[in-house]
Amino acid sequence: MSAESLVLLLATGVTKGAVYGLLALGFHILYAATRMLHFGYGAVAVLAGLIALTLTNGLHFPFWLTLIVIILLGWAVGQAHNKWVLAPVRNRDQWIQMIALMAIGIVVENAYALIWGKMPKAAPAFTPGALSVLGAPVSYQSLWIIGITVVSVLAIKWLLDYTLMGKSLRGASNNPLAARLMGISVMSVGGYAYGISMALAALGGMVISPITFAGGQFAFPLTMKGFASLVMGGMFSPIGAVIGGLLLGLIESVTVGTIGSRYMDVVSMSVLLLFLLVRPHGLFGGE
Amino acid sequence: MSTLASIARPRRLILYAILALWLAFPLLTDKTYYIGLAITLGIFAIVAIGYNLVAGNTGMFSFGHAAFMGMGAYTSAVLSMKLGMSAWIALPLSAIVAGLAGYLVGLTSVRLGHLHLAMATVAFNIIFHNIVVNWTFTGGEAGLGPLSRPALGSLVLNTDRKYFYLVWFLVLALLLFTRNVVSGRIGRAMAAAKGDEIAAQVSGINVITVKLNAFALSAFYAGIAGSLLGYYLAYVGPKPFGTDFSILLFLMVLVGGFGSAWGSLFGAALMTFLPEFFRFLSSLAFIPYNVRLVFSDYTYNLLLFGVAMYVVVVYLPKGIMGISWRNLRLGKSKR
Repeated sequence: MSAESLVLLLATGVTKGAVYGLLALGFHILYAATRMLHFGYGAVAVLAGLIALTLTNGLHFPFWLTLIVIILLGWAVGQAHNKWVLAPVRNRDQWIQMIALMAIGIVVENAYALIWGKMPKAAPAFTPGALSVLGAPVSYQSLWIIGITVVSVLAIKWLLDYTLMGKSLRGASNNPLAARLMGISVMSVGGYAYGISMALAALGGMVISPITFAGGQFAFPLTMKGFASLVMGGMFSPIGAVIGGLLLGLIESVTVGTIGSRYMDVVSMSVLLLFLLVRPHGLFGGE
Repeated sequence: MSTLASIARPRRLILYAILALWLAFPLLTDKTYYIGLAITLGIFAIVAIGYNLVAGNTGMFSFGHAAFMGMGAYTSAVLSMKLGMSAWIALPLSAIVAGLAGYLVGLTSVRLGHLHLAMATVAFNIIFHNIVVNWTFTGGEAGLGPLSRPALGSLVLNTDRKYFYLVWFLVLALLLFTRNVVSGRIGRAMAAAKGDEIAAQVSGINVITVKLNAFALSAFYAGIAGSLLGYYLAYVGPKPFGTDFSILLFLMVLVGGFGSAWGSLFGAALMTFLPEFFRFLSSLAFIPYNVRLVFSDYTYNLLLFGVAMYVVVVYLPKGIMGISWRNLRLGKSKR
């Protein structure tokens, strides 16, 4: 294998992996704080991708404004989940909450076709063009994605370690009952967790839409990729989630380079099943 | 559990009358359309009854049962088209293959909680669907066909009317078998495993084995249904065996009511007739075009099913069978 194709393989792997890492980080925060997984998560990412597309192409928003709007949108969708979608099922069985969230995801991902049509949409890159590394073209979009991921991971780290919001999230994650006894309300923890995780999903959806396409049919696969990354890294490890995402991205790009893109999802889902079977705590989950 | 034995005598007679009427129904009509719907209903009923063993009796929610159905359908297609095997041998063999696949998937999944189980079964369904779509051996997007209908000597099930009796013979046989499983020792072990795993363990029930067996058995049912669907359509393609059908299957059993065989039948009936009802609505000229589109297009049908799923799981988690009809009659219940 030439150096050129190796760089290309690595670049696509890390780019996709960074997005999976963002999604998995959002999943981790939600799961750690509320012990819930959201099967409609990918739908939020796709929604953000489509709205970002409309904002930049249709309304000619500058890039930084779109970015802020998308993050706020993700936060707002999270609040709406916590306030309204979960309101009637809050104290019910876990499976009822899971199905309610999944149902909302199905409604939302199929509603896009009403507004944006059925064909997936291609978004323009943030900065068009590519950089030449050892003769291989690495698009500026990849650099944007990697940069945004690094910044968001650091921001989340700061949020979790130094703010009251982060402390209550970590408290609820370590011991939900004790956190409640210390006066941290379930409602506010849910609001933070859904807000942050949906904002990360929205960010992930926005940055990936110039590379893949944005459309309702990509929502569920994105959810599953996020899950796979989280399981690989470990359900309770934020850094593990990001590393799991990077690993999954690399595995996928190696699959595309060797077997072909047709069996990409087969390989990544097999990795998920393998981890669930052999090492359910993931690589960084501990015992 | 409403078993036949527990139903009082006059109600039991009514039940037999309805059953006789249903079995006589293909003789009363010439329209293959109606008989076709009844066959589809039977096939859905078989998967739903099997799915209920997992979801209702054991408390595990799988989102990969469409793949087990597909496993049955594709096994039948391959056995009868590439090896020229008779349908009478291929049908049980495909059910066994699906059951074995269920056992293997169960090995990875039954130890997991609700969230991880759902994740694992969806992953399995995606793997299965992607393989049959891309593999030339399974015909790719185009699928495999034509399959010839089962034949026994001179008795060939070449008409839908004859096929109806095969399907519904299997529905009734499986219904009775399921009732015996559920009301017997295994069923009680399943109920115990659903209720409190630790308590069940302490009482000497091997929870993992019970769950694994239930999972494999329900995959076996799905395999029968898939094989029947393949022979009925005389064609097997990847389309019906994606994750979306797994979710519809869940919805079918949820609407009917977990743990109730009658609920499964009802859910299967609803899922058979609803698309027809949607098609009827989409043909009505006085409804505005944009509204009709919602009924005629599969994407928007899924949207409606999503709304239904939310409403049912939030307000009616025990399904239709969970409604207490006596309390609904206002005035009478208040004394």
